[in-house]
Amino acid sequence: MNAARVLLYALLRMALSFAFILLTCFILTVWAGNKRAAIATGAGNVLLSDSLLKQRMQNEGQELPATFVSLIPLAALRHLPDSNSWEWWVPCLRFNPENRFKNWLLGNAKRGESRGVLQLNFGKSVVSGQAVNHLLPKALHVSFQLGCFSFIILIFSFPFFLSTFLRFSTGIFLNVSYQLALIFSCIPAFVLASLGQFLLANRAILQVFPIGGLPTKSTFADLALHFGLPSLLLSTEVLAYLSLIGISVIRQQAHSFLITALKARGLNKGLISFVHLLRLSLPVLIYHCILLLPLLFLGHPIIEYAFSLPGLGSLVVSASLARDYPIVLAVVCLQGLATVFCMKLASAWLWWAGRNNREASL
Amino acid sequence: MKLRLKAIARVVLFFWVLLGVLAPFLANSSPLVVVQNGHLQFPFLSNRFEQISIELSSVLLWPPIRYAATDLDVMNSNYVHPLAKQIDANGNSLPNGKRHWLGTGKLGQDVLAGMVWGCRQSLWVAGIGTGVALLLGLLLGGLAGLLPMITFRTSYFSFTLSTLVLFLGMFYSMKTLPQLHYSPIAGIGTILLAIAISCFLLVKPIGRVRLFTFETDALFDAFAQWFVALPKLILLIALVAIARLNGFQIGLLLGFFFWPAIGLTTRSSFNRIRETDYFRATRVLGLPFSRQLFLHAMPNTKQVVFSASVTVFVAVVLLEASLSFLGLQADADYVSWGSLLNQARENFAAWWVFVPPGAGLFSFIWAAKWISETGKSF
Repeated sequence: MNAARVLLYALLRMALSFAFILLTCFILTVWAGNKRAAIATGAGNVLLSDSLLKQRMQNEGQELPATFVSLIPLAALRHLPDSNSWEWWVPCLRFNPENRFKNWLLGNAKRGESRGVLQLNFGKSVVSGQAVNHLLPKALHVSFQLGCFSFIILIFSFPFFLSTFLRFSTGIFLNVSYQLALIFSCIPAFVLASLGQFLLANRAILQVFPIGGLPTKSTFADLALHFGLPSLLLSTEVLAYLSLIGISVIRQQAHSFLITALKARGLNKGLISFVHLLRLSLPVLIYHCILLLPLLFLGHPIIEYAFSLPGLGSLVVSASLARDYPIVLAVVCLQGLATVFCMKLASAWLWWAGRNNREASL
Repeated sequence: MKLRLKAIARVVLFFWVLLGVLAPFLANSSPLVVVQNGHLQFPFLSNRFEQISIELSSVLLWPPIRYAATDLDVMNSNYVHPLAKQIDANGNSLPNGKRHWLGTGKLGQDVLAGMVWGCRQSLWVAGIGTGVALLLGLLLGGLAGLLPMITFRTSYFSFTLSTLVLFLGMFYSMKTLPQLHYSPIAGIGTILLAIAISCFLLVKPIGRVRLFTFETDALFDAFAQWFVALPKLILLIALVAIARLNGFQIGLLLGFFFWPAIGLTTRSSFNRIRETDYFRATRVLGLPFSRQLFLHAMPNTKQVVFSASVTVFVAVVLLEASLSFLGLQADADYVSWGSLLNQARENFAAWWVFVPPGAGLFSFIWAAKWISETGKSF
């Protein structure tokens, strides 16, 4: 009996919480709808009957809000033939299924728009008139190419840096490396880009790379030439950040109890560094690597803008300047989703990596 | 070595802050002090030099840089090298007092004046952003750290009634969803909803049923994580370009984006303090919450909060510079280090346009980061 009561109580609490959340959303939507109606009709926050509200909003060239509260004559509720014969008016929740914001969010099957923004249909670009869902993959392709080149540079360079840090895990070398990493992490991306263009894409000094833009031919050599400098700068930025994290973690772990005990036992220095120290430092490094994935593969606005690459980053900059809201919304949604996904993935990784410690403590 | 670097970082940061604060005294087209009719006047305070006629002989003191950031020297436009010949309207060489010591930009803007005013702009935006982040972070982080759970209670009667009536009300209100015509059940639904809300509002701190425990800490954590997950640069680009924000509004927005950095630090610090003996003693003594917060908890978090604030300061400076580099500032007269670098993109041969602001931005960020990482306090 007691268990049933507890269960009922728990169910009721859950239901109440759920209902409360729904109700809050309702109230907010209705409040917003009424506010819009009040602004359009100039009627303040007073409630108007459906017909009067509709009439006034049509006169103003506005449409009815998606959700609002309006007055309905009690006679209509009671299905009386003459609605003016009764003086009581009851406030009721009203819904307008033809509202354009609702259509934009959820689509309208009657109008042939089966999907809305919530179903990832972002509509058409205001500037070019093309469907956003067609523009995004093109830009994403360029950003992804840039990310791949940067990733290749990182794959070759970071293990070298990491092994050097592990080899000299204490002493002045690590301090100097830390200072260098700090200096590189302090140079903003646009300064780095300008500096790179000035030094390596300048006819007056050294023109190794083109100053920007996409290759005309699609050969790998041409691609590498055009993406070389931006990917080099992007990977430099990422590498500086990862080096800072790596040095901090290695420095911290090098003084941990386990490493001190292994050193005291006289284990081979290489074994301590490249097996035990690496095993202790790797989870945090991988965590930060996962967090950096959206920055690498989903476009860096500044690098892409500086090198005139038509990726996602420069797409959002140009769309923002032209007030092309559908594109801006789509890119923000995509970046947000990717960031959240990577954060969750990184947290899951950290949780998985720490399972041994948890089991040991249990 | 560490201490020496810290001292250098302090000097560098102090230099830039001083430069930003004293920008109107250092780079201005109006004189600092003028004697007119036997009275001392300070035209630079009101920029009245153009409006009132002042004889040049009456000027007592000029600023060291006789150009403001937005002044255009047409005679020396199109990227004049710092060491090249600079001419006035009559074709004569400019005197030393009126020289452009770091050259000029495309339209004849003085690069040194741009540096000084750009520093002021960055400091202004970063100051506002850090202030807002500090305020929100301390408030929310402190609340989550000191009061991790707040429980609300109600009576059995109102709890059961509100649950049932709320569901019924919502059910009947939903019935009006498909079309927009009068429906008797819509009215019933609305009335039931009103009753449910009234019952629900009978929440009180004591009662037999624990209605809900407001988990401040968990809520704060979720909220902060959500803010951390925001793609800040992309979102800022969109918001700044669409809403055409000015420097003050950008600062406010950045502060709103960066409060979790300070909030999470404050929360963890307060969590530690909450368990200490001296803080428990303040509770046993029955001190008011505000006294516990401001006199006993906050002074012990100042070091970590300082470090987090400097990190936020650096991030805000960087983002503001990035936005102005992309040319997203609302005002055409908005001069910042980022906008100077944006100008430099048009002509890479003019190294004097992008090296000074680049070096300035780098040294400023390096100094702040170094102090943040090593110092914990000045």
